[in-house]
Amino acid sequence: MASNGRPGDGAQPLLRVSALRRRFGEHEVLHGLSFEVRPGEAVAVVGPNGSGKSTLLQCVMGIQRPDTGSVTLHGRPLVESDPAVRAEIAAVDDSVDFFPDLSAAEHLGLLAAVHDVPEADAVVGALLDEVGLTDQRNQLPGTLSSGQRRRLALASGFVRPRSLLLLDEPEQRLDGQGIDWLIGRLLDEKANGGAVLFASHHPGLIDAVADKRLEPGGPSS
Amino acid sequence: MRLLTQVRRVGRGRREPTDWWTLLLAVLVLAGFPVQVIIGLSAGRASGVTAAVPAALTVGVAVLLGALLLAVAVALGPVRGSPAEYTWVLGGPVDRRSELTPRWVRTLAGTGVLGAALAAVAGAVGGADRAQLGLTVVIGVGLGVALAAGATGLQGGTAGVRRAVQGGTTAAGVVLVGLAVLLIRLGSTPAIPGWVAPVGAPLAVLLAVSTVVWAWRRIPALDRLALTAGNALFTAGGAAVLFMDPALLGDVLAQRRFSQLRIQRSRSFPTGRRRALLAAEWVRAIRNRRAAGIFVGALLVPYVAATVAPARWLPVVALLSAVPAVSPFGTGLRKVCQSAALRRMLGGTDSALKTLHLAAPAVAAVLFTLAAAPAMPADRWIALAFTPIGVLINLWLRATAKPMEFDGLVADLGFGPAPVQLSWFLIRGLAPLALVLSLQLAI
Repeated sequence: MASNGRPGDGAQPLLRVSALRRRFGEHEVLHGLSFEVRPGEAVAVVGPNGSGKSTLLQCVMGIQRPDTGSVTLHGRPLVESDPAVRAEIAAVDDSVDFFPDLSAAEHLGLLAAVHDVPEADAVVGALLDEVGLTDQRNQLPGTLSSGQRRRLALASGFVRPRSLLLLDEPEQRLDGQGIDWLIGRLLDEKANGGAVLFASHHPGLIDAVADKRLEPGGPSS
Repeated sequence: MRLLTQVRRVGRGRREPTDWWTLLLAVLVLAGFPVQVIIGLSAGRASGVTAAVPAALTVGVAVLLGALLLAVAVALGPVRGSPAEYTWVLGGPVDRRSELTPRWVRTLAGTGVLGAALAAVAGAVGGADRAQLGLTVVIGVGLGVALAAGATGLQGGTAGVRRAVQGGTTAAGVVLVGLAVLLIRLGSTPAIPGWVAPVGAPLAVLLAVSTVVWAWRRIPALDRLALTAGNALFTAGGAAVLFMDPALLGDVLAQRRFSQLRIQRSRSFPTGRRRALLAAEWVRAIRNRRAAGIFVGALLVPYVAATVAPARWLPVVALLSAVPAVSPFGTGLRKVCQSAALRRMLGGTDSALKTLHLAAPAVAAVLFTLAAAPAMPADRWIALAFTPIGVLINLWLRATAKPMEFDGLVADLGFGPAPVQLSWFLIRGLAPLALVLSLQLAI
């Protein structure tokens, strides 16, 4: 693992992944991977397609069960269906889903409301403005373009409180301005004590945000 | 034209031979079942109901049925074909009408036969004599052909016109059935006069001919959008039948509905998990206008049944009509059950999320049961009270079903191998309904 900064060095690890192995048939994707993510720290998962970036994130999200190894949050085994885990982790990957009959603003408003965000309407309005969806606030998710849906998905991760943000290639379908916004948001996340684990192919995003780099396909990771 | 004829001739030569006799046998067996059920039910009519079907009810049911068939026909096309045919029709140097006509004529013939079958059943149930039955069948053929031809004419029209015609005919059908039920309950139930069949038959033929001419003139104007609009639905319907999975069709229908939905102003939700999720359920329910229409339409069924079926069967009819009435209110439940990502986003436990999303269908099921109660005598209300239970268990089991597995465990039960998971998937929604239904009949 390469490191270029130590913002969370003094803090206890929020997320700890130990000796994680995941195999698909004869092909082992994760070879006993271990790492930690501390509050205020961003870890980038890098590597070529098929190197296990998404598999790693899905193991951390609890979508996939590793063959061996453990994932703990605050020192306790991470169980995806545990309400406490769901309250702490905001995940944005390709599986992000929306209620098809609620508008973009309503979807974000509902997420804010169920997570007890104060002044939810103002938060939602500001976030829609940030992701450039103000004009589409009354549109249903099914009527948004793929890029707009991606931005709505990212907004879904940012509209609710969280201590760990998991992002799988968040730069997908974002233009240059969108990448700049994302960098700013992730830096704010770190500054506010949040931890970020993200997979990315975007060198600019990784350089600007990541404190550590992790290569799951690598032999010594 | 010569080229087109040659292409068709070559295509005919390569086609697999169709086993028409097996197909006919299958249609007869499948059509015979509902006919037997109707005849069986009509054999034990409620007291005071004569053999002659009340005129008002016949008209109302016919209009409602016509509206539903029109909606299906317009949604599917009705003039449609494979993508290769469209490329040929729209891009090739062929006469569009002559290429599309053979399939269109088959569609008209199909709806004509369907109309004839429905008219024959109605005539038989109504106790029509042989001559009247023949004329009734002519009316059925005429209306069936006119319906498909009318849908073809609408196919080239704007979406607004199509929606207005569909909505207008459906509303007219619902209102007419409602009025008919009211008239019957008030004791004012004139039977169909004897002159209706002799006058109606030529009128139906005239209507069929005029709509066919109108549609024939509009076929050349059908553009790519009009010809391809029903393809997704047709393909999904075929896949749903082939894989025995209604969800395949449901997804496409939902997509069509949401693409037409316009939201003027986004709603705010109150803070707090339960209140916010329940408020979202409410928004979802009032936003789904079709749900209200289906609810009212389905609610009429027990009232109509009360005029032709024995009281013992009425709770069963209420239960079976409550299933489609309540189902549209379960969209939130289905979505939450299907999407683990959404559950992760919303937080809380899976069971709490699913239970909260059962609120809207539960309210709809209870309201349906209460509204259906006056359709039957008070001594059947205990049996009727089981309706919400049956409906909600059915909805829950269908919503929480895992995706269908075609390669699961196979058990030999003595009469050939049976796929266990697939069989359970198919009966898991129906089994509790059958159980509650048996209980209702036993009470």
